[in-house]
Amino acid sequence: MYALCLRYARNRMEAEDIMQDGFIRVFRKMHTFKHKGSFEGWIRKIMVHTAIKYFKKGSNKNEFSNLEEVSEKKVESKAVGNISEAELLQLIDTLPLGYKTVFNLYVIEGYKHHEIAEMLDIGESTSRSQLLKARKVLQNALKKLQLLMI
Amino acid sequence: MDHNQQYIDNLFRNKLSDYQMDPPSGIWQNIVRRKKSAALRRKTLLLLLLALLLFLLIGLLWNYNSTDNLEDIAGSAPQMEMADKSSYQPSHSEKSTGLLDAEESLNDLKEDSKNNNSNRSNEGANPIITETNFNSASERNRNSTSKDKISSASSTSISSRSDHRQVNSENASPLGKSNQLTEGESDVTKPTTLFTPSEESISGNFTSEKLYSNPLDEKTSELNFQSQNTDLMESEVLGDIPGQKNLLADGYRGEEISMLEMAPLRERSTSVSLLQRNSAENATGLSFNACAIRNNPNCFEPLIPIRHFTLDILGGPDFYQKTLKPKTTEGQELAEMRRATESYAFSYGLSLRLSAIFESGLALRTGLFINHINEKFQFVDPDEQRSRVINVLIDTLITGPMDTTFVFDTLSVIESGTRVRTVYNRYQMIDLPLMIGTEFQSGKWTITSSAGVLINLAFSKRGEVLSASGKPRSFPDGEAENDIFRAKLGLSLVGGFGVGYQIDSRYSLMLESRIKYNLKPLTIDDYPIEQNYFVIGFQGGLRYKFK
Repeated sequence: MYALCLRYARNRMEAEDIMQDGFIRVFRKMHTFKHKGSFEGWIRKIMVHTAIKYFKKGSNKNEFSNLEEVSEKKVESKAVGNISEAELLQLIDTLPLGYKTVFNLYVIEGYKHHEIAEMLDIGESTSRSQLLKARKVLQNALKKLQLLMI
Repeated sequence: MDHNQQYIDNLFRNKLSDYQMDPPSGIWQNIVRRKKSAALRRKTLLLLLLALLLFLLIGLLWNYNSTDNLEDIAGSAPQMEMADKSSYQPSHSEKSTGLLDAEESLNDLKEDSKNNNSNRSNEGANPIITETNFNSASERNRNSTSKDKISSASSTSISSRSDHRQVNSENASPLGKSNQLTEGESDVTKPTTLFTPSEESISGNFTSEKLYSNPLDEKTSELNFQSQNTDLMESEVLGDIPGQKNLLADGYRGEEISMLEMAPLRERSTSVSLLQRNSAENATGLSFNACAIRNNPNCFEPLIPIRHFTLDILGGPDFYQKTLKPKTTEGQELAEMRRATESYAFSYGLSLRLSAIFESGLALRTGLFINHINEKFQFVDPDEQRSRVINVLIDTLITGPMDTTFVFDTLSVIESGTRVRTVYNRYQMIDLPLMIGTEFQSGKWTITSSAGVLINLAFSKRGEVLSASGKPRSFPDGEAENDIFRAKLGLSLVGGFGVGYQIDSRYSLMLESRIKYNLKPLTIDDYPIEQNYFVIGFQGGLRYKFK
């Protein structure tokens, strides 16, 4: 769950906050779990919603990232097969918040555009355009790393 | 979607969808801590709300039934109107409240007065008297300029206090006389309205024979007493009832009439004080019940028989017995060291307490209790060493007359000795009491008792204690704010007795003793000692009684 939170958060502090908030909600809503589907999936869903709620609540909070975090975002060039999950996470972290959220929701969590639009209070077209832009940024980043065969 | 975009999606999805990372170690502790504090906060809030709701409910029920009484009374209004409209002249306040249509009543007056003869002969001697009758009459008599329309109806009207005096002095009521003259009605002196005994009438020791010499029902029961008296008042105005004059001439009725007249007076003015009512009761030896008179807005019979609400503000010294119970061997040693270094210092408690006192003597109490437990921490270190820098004159250079140079050097001196460190530790608790008790009154004295629980709302602490190493350590200590003591104390048991002395109708002086015991120790589970206090407090203060 921490990796999930890191994908949505702008830094580790935010990821920890989201994870704490998420688990508090999990404990509070435990009685609503219907035992249909996986428990992990249910927790995951709560975490995603907590992350979205977190950013909706204080969208301009913790805008600054420190130098350590910036240096962490450097991704060294590697062969495609060798790129690690942590490095992919760092790539995602380079995205602006809006792109990142839509990319995570669509590509990794598997939500549809209309669902994302509802969750984020945006239009479906906005969701689509944010996803396209996110893909483009990531594509460029990977090109730079010579990970893509063009 | 082009090939590259799909490739990117697959790459991220496959690699990251099931990827797990270990979170920082402190995150789980934070989650547990937040969960506990959230639960505590919810519980505290819930209890506060419950206490508030309980008091609101009691207050609402108290007021509701008083309104209910009025509605019941209003339900019998048609009977009143049937009885005698001519006797009714609405006051200004009644016009505004619309209890009766005043204009309609006025229009009916002449007609009614014409029919009075036949009605009276059929109705007998028992009039229904309502408080509105009193009012209207009183109003008229106060505003005695309006004798035209009013006088047409005043054959059955009721006098004000001043009229009583006139009658009492055996002068025929000028109003009554003028009424007769104006209307020319020969039998206005007879009782004109129907008398219906009310179950809520005031009981008394008078019999109808005593009260009336006119042909009223002599079998009137004690229950009829209120109505009899009101009838008496009514008759007085007329001034022509033979028995009535005699009655007043006996000097027998003055007080009762005054007392009975209080009801309309009370409506005219905003209220009659309890003191007045008591004095009337004392003077007559009768119990006065405002609900015996219909449509009396002062009628007040609560469903929950609450005698009154009180607000107490109390304060005084607290004495405590501290227990330091070791949980481990290490704790045993530490407890002994702490016992040797900590001692009692003046402590005190303050209370703001709201009570609902029931007629049965039962009391429900809530409010806010504040306790300051203070203690003296004295640590003696016999091997204390401290360094001091001093200036030492090492040379004096005289280079000429009036020209001397002193050469100093600094020396660092280490002093050893015994150091005594004294710190006053403070533990402050703010609690919400939920208590049940009793209150018994005897004359001006009140004996109170109460017992219940205190819900801790806030617990702050500051000071120093010995650590396991034998050195003083302060609390709270930087970020580790609650590494010795709990953030909240939970529930405590509380009980006590007290005595009150009434200084006037509203205020009483109170003196109370109180014991308090925390169900949980003040210290956290990981601390090797359980620290707790058994507090005995004495508090004095003031009580305000709400009407």
